[in-house]
Amino acid sequence: MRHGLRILAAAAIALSCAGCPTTQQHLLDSNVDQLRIRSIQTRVFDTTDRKAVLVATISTLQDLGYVVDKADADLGTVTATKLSGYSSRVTATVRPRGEKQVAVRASIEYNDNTVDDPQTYQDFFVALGKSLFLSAHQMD
Amino acid sequence: MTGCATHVPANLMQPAGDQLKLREQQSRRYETTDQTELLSASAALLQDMGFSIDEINKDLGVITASKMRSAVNPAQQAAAVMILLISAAGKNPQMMPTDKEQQMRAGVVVRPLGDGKNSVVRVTFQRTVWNTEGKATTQEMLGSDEIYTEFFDKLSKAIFLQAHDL
Repeated sequence: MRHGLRILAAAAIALSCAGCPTTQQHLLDSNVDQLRIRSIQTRVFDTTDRKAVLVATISTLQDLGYVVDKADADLGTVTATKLSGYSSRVTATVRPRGEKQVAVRASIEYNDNTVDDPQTYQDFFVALGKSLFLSAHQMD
Repeated sequence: MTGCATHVPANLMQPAGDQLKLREQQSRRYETTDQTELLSASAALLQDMGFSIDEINKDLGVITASKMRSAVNPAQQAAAVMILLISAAGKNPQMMPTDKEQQMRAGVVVRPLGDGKNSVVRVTFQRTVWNTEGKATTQEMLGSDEIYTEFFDKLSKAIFLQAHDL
Protein backbone atom coordinates (compact mmCIF):
# COMPACT_ATOMS: atom_id res chain seq x y z
CA MET A 1 0.00 0.00 0.00
CA ARG A 2 2.78 2.40 1.01
CA HIS A 3 4.73 1.41 -2.07
CA GLY A 4 1.73 2.16 -4.26
CA LEU A 5 1.43 5.63 -2.73
CA ARG A 6 5.06 6.36 -3.53
CA ILE A 7 4.61 5.39 -7.18
CA LEU A 8 1.52 7.57 -7.32
CA ALA A 9 3.42 10.53 -5.85
CA ALA A 10 6.29 10.05 -8.32
CA ALA A 11 3.83 9.93 -11.21
CA ALA A 12 2.16 13.12 -9.98
CA ILE A 13 5.51 14.92 -9.83
CA ALA A 14 6.43 13.69 -13.31
CA LEU A 15 3.06 14.85 -14.65
CA SER A 16 3.29 18.31 -13.06
CA CYS A 17 6.61 18.80 -14.88
CA ALA A 18 5.39 17.58 -18.26
CA GLY A 19 5.18 21.12 -19.61
CA CYS A 20 8.53 22.21 -18.20
CA PRO A 21 11.33 23.31 -20.53
CA THR A 22 14.38 21.12 -21.09
CA THR A 23 17.91 22.38 -20.39
CA GLN A 24 18.33 23.26 -24.06
CA GLN A 25 15.08 25.22 -24.05
CA HIS A 26 16.17 26.96 -20.84
CA LEU A 27 19.49 27.89 -22.47
CA LEU A 28 18.12 29.18 -25.74
CA ASP A 29 14.66 30.22 -24.50
CA SER A 30 13.53 28.59 -27.73
CA ASN A 31 10.12 27.80 -26.28
CA VAL A 32 9.18 31.49 -26.01
CA ASP A 33 8.03 33.79 -28.78
CA GLN A 34 11.19 35.90 -29.05
CA LEU A 35 9.72 38.50 -31.41
CA ARG A 36 6.84 39.11 -29.04
CA ILE A 37 9.21 39.36 -26.07
CA ARG A 38 11.44 41.81 -27.93
CA SER A 39 8.51 44.01 -28.74
CA ILE A 40 7.15 44.15 -25.17
CA GLN A 41 10.67 44.77 -23.84
CA THR A 42 11.50 47.69 -26.15
CA ARG A 43 10.40 51.33 -26.29
CA VAL A 44 11.65 54.29 -28.28
CA PHE A 45 12.16 57.83 -26.97
CA ASP A 46 12.42 60.97 -29.12
CA THR A 47 15.81 62.20 -27.96
CA THR A 48 19.39 61.95 -29.15
CA ASP A 49 20.88 62.15 -25.64
CA ARG A 50 21.70 58.51 -25.04
CA LYS A 51 23.64 59.22 -21.86
CA ALA A 52 20.70 61.12 -20.33
CA VAL A 53 18.47 58.11 -21.03
CA LEU A 54 21.03 55.82 -19.41
CA VAL A 55 21.31 58.03 -16.31
CA ALA A 56 17.50 58.21 -16.07
CA THR A 57 17.31 54.42 -16.39
CA ILE A 58 19.66 54.09 -13.42
CA SER A 59 17.67 56.53 -11.25
CA THR A 60 14.38 54.90 -12.24
CA LEU A 61 15.69 51.47 -11.25
CA GLN A 62 16.89 52.94 -7.94
CA ASP A 63 13.46 54.42 -7.34
CA LEU A 64 11.93 51.00 -7.98
CA GLY A 65 14.17 49.45 -5.29
CA TYR A 66 16.89 48.01 -7.52
CA VAL A 67 20.60 48.23 -6.71
CA VAL A 68 22.84 48.67 -9.75
CA ASP A 69 25.23 45.74 -10.31
CA LYS A 70 27.01 46.95 -13.44
CA ALA A 71 26.80 49.82 -15.85
CA ASP A 72 28.73 50.66 -18.99
CA ALA A 73 28.38 54.07 -20.56
CA ASP A 74 30.08 53.13 -23.87
CA LEU A 75 27.86 50.15 -24.50
CA GLY A 76 24.82 51.68 -22.84
CA THR A 77 24.03 48.76 -20.55
CA VAL A 78 22.82 48.63 -16.95
CA THR A 79 22.16 45.58 -14.80
CA ALA A 80 20.44 45.89 -11.43
CA THR A 81 19.06 43.58 -8.73
CA LYS A 82 16.13 43.95 -6.36
CA LEU A 83 15.76 41.82 -3.23
CA SER A 84 12.42 42.06 -1.51
CA GLY A 85 11.42 38.62 -0.32
CA TYR A 86 12.12 37.62 -3.93
CA SER A 87 14.92 38.41 -6.29
CA SER A 88 14.48 40.29 -9.52
CA ARG A 89 17.10 41.31 -12.04
CA VAL A 90 16.89 43.81 -14.86
CA THR A 91 19.25 44.38 -17.77
CA ALA A 92 18.59 47.49 -19.82
CA THR A 93 20.37 48.44 -23.03
CA VAL A 94 20.14 51.94 -24.42
CA ARG A 95 21.17 52.44 -28.02
CA PRO A 96 20.66 55.06 -30.70
CA ARG A 97 17.93 54.35 -33.23
CA GLY A 98 18.34 56.31 -36.41
CA GLU A 99 19.29 59.98 -36.12
CA LYS A 100 16.63 61.25 -33.77
CA GLN A 101 15.70 58.47 -31.37
CA VAL A 102 17.00 56.27 -28.62
CA ALA A 103 15.73 52.72 -28.09
CA VAL A 104 15.63 51.15 -24.63
CA ARG A 105 15.30 47.43 -24.18
CA ALA A 106 14.75 46.08 -20.69
CA SER A 107 14.67 42.41 -19.80
CA ILE A 108 13.26 41.61 -16.40
CA GLU A 109 13.88 38.39 -14.49
CA TYR A 110 11.82 37.37 -11.50
CA ASN A 111 13.03 34.45 -9.35
CA ASP A 112 14.96 32.80 -12.21
CA ASN A 113 12.31 33.32 -14.88
CA THR A 114 12.01 35.84 -17.69
CA VAL A 115 9.03 38.09 -17.07
CA ASP A 116 6.76 38.04 -20.12
CA ASP A 117 3.89 40.06 -18.70
CA PRO A 118 3.55 43.19 -20.90
CA GLN A 119 2.08 45.30 -18.06
CA THR A 120 5.23 44.90 -15.93
CA TYR A 121 7.32 46.33 -18.79
CA GLN A 122 4.75 49.04 -19.45
CA ASP A 123 4.99 50.11 -15.78
CA PHE A 124 8.76 50.33 -16.07
CA PHE A 125 8.68 52.41 -19.26
CA VAL A 126 6.04 54.75 -17.82
CA ALA A 127 8.30 55.36 -14.80
CA LEU A 128 11.31 55.88 -17.09
CA GLY A 129 9.36 58.27 -19.32
CA LYS A 130 8.33 60.31 -16.27
CA SER A 131 11.91 60.78 -15.17
CA LEU A 132 12.90 61.78 -18.73
CA PHE A 133 9.86 64.02 -19.26
CA LEU A 134 9.33 62.08 -22.51
CA SER A 135 6.80 59.53 -23.55
CA ALA A 136 7.77 56.04 -24.59
CA HIS A 137 6.72 54.80 -28.04
CA GLN A 138 6.26 51.25 -29.17
CA MET A 139 8.69 50.18 -31.88
CA ASP A 140 7.05 50.01 -35.30
CA MET B 1 -0.57 22.32 -10.26
CA THR B 2 2.89 23.54 -9.45
CA GLY B 3 3.77 23.65 -13.16
CA CYS B 4 6.23 26.16 -14.54
CA ALA B 5 4.20 29.35 -14.60
CA THR B 6 5.68 32.40 -12.90
CA HIS B 7 3.54 34.74 -10.90
CA VAL B 8 5.06 38.16 -11.02
CA PRO B 9 3.80 40.58 -8.37
CA ALA B 10 1.64 43.21 -10.07
CA ASN B 11 3.63 46.02 -8.46
CA LEU B 12 7.11 44.74 -9.44
CA MET B 13 7.79 47.78 -11.62
CA GLN B 14 5.45 50.22 -9.92
CA PRO B 15 6.76 52.93 -7.64
CA ALA B 16 6.14 52.08 -3.98
CA GLY B 17 4.07 54.46 -1.85
CA ASP B 18 7.16 55.47 0.13
CA GLN B 19 9.30 55.96 -2.98
CA LEU B 20 9.82 59.70 -2.42
CA LYS B 21 10.64 59.25 1.26
CA LEU B 22 13.15 56.52 0.41
CA ARG B 23 14.77 58.67 -2.25
CA GLU B 24 15.17 61.49 0.29
CA GLN B 25 16.56 59.17 2.96
CA GLN B 26 19.05 57.58 0.58
CA SER B 27 20.24 60.76 -1.17
CA ARG B 28 22.18 63.90 -0.27
CA ARG B 29 23.13 66.93 -2.32
CA TYR B 30 26.67 68.28 -2.32
CA GLU B 31 27.71 71.66 -3.65
CA THR B 32 30.33 70.38 -6.05
CA THR B 33 30.53 69.26 -9.66
CA ASP B 34 33.55 67.06 -8.95
CA GLN B 35 31.93 63.66 -9.34
CA THR B 36 35.25 61.86 -9.41
CA GLU B 37 36.03 63.19 -5.92
CA LEU B 38 32.60 62.06 -4.66
CA LEU B 39 33.08 58.64 -6.24
CA SER B 40 36.54 58.02 -4.84
CA ALA B 41 35.53 59.25 -1.37
CA SER B 42 32.50 56.91 -1.49
CA ALA B 43 34.72 54.00 -2.57
CA ALA B 44 37.12 54.70 0.33
CA LEU B 45 34.20 54.92 2.76
CA LEU B 46 32.79 51.58 1.56
CA GLN B 47 36.25 50.09 2.11
CA ASP B 48 36.23 51.51 5.67
CA MET B 49 32.92 49.71 6.15
CA GLY B 50 34.54 46.40 5.14
CA PHE B 51 33.08 46.21 1.64
CA SER B 52 35.03 45.08 -1.41
CA ILE B 53 34.41 47.02 -4.58
CA ASP B 54 32.85 44.81 -7.27
CA GLU B 55 32.35 47.40 -10.00
CA ILE B 56 33.04 51.05 -10.61
CA ASN B 57 31.92 53.03 -13.63
CA LYS B 58 33.28 56.55 -13.56
CA ASP B 59 31.26 57.86 -16.53
CA LEU B 60 27.96 56.87 -14.98
CA GLY B 61 29.06 57.41 -11.39
CA VAL B 62 28.21 53.89 -10.25
CA ILE B 63 29.90 51.84 -7.51
CA THR B 64 28.84 48.35 -6.46
CA ALA B 65 30.39 46.72 -3.39
CA SER B 66 29.74 43.64 -1.30
CA LYS B 67 30.87 41.70 1.74
CA MET B 68 30.14 38.31 3.27
CA ARG B 69 29.30 38.13 6.97
CA SER B 70 28.08 35.50 9.41
CA ALA B 71 24.31 35.32 9.81
CA VAL B 72 24.34 32.99 12.81
CA ASN B 73 21.61 34.04 15.21
CA PRO B 74 21.90 32.72 18.82
CA ALA B 75 18.13 32.74 19.42
CA GLN B 76 17.50 30.76 16.24
CA GLN B 77 20.29 28.31 17.14
CA ALA B 78 18.76 27.81 20.60
CA ALA B 79 15.34 27.17 19.08
CA ALA B 80 16.83 24.60 16.67
CA VAL B 81 18.54 22.78 19.55
CA MET B 82 15.30 22.76 21.57
CA ILE B 83 13.42 21.24 18.64
CA LEU B 84 16.22 18.70 18.18
CA LEU B 85 15.98 17.70 21.86
CA ILE B 86 12.21 17.40 21.74
CA SER B 87 12.29 15.38 18.50
CA ALA B 88 15.07 13.17 19.93
CA ALA B 89 12.29 11.26 21.70
CA GLY B 90 10.90 10.29 18.30
CA LYS B 91 12.39 8.00 15.67
CA ASN B 92 14.43 10.34 13.50
CA PRO B 93 15.59 13.47 15.29
CA GLN B 94 16.58 16.24 12.90
CA MET B 95 18.46 19.50 13.28
CA MET B 96 16.42 22.28 11.73
CA PRO B 97 18.38 24.36 9.19
CA THR B 98 19.46 27.72 10.62
CA ASP B 99 20.81 30.92 9.09
CA LYS B 100 24.51 30.66 8.37
CA GLU B 101 25.94 33.45 6.23
CA GLN B 102 24.89 36.57 4.41
CA GLN B 103 26.05 38.69 1.53
CA MET B 104 25.58 42.43 2.09
CA ARG B 105 25.66 44.69 -0.96
CA ALA B 106 25.97 48.42 -1.32
CA GLY B 107 25.30 50.52 -4.38
CA VAL B 108 26.33 54.16 -4.75
CA VAL B 109 25.26 56.37 -7.64
CA VAL B 110 26.68 59.88 -8.10
CA ARG B 111 25.08 62.16 -10.66
CA PRO B 112 25.03 65.85 -11.51
CA LEU B 113 21.87 67.57 -10.28
CA GLY B 114 21.57 69.33 -13.62
CA ASP B 115 21.97 72.91 -12.36
CA GLY B 116 25.71 73.03 -13.07
CA LYS B 117 26.54 73.47 -9.34
CA ASN B 118 25.40 70.45 -7.37
CA SER B 119 25.79 66.70 -7.37
CA VAL B 120 23.59 64.05 -5.81
CA VAL B 121 24.85 60.91 -4.08
CA ARG B 122 22.43 58.05 -3.49
CA VAL B 123 23.28 54.91 -1.53
CA THR B 124 21.33 51.67 -1.18
CA PHE B 125 21.99 48.51 0.80
CA GLN B 126 20.58 45.00 0.46
CA ARG B 127 21.35 41.51 1.72
CA THR B 128 20.77 37.83 1.06
CA VAL B 129 20.91 35.33 3.93
CA TRP B 130 21.64 31.63 3.33
CA ASN B 131 20.96 28.84 5.82
CA THR B 132 22.96 25.72 6.66
CA GLU B 133 21.33 23.97 3.68
CA GLY B 134 22.52 26.67 1.27
CA LYS B 135 18.99 27.97 0.72
CA ALA B 136 18.35 31.73 0.57
CA THR B 137 16.09 32.49 3.54
CA THR B 138 16.04 36.30 3.45
CA GLN B 139 16.35 38.68 0.50
CA GLU B 140 15.74 42.26 1.47
CA MET B 141 16.70 45.88 1.25
CA LEU B 142 18.44 47.26 4.34
CA GLY B 143 18.41 50.78 5.58
CA SER B 144 17.23 53.14 8.28
CA ASP B 145 17.56 56.84 8.99
CA GLU B 146 20.54 56.12 11.26
CA ILE B 147 22.37 54.06 8.65
CA TYR B 148 21.99 56.68 5.91
CA THR B 149 22.80 59.59 8.23
CA GLU B 150 25.97 57.91 9.46
CA PHE B 151 27.02 57.09 5.91
CA PHE B 152 26.58 60.66 4.68
CA ASP B 153 28.16 62.18 7.81
CA LYS B 154 31.29 60.16 7.12
CA LEU B 155 31.24 61.04 3.43
CA SER B 156 30.91 64.74 4.25
CA LYS B 157 33.92 64.56 6.58
CA ALA B 158 36.00 62.84 3.91
CA ILE B 159 35.34 65.49 1.28
CA PHE B 160 35.11 68.53 3.59
CA LEU B 161 31.67 69.41 2.26
CA GLN B 162 28.36 69.63 4.00
CA ALA B 163 25.58 67.26 2.96
CA HIS B 164 22.24 68.87 2.15
CA ASP B 165 18.84 67.28 1.88
CA LEU B 166 17.61 67.00 -1.70
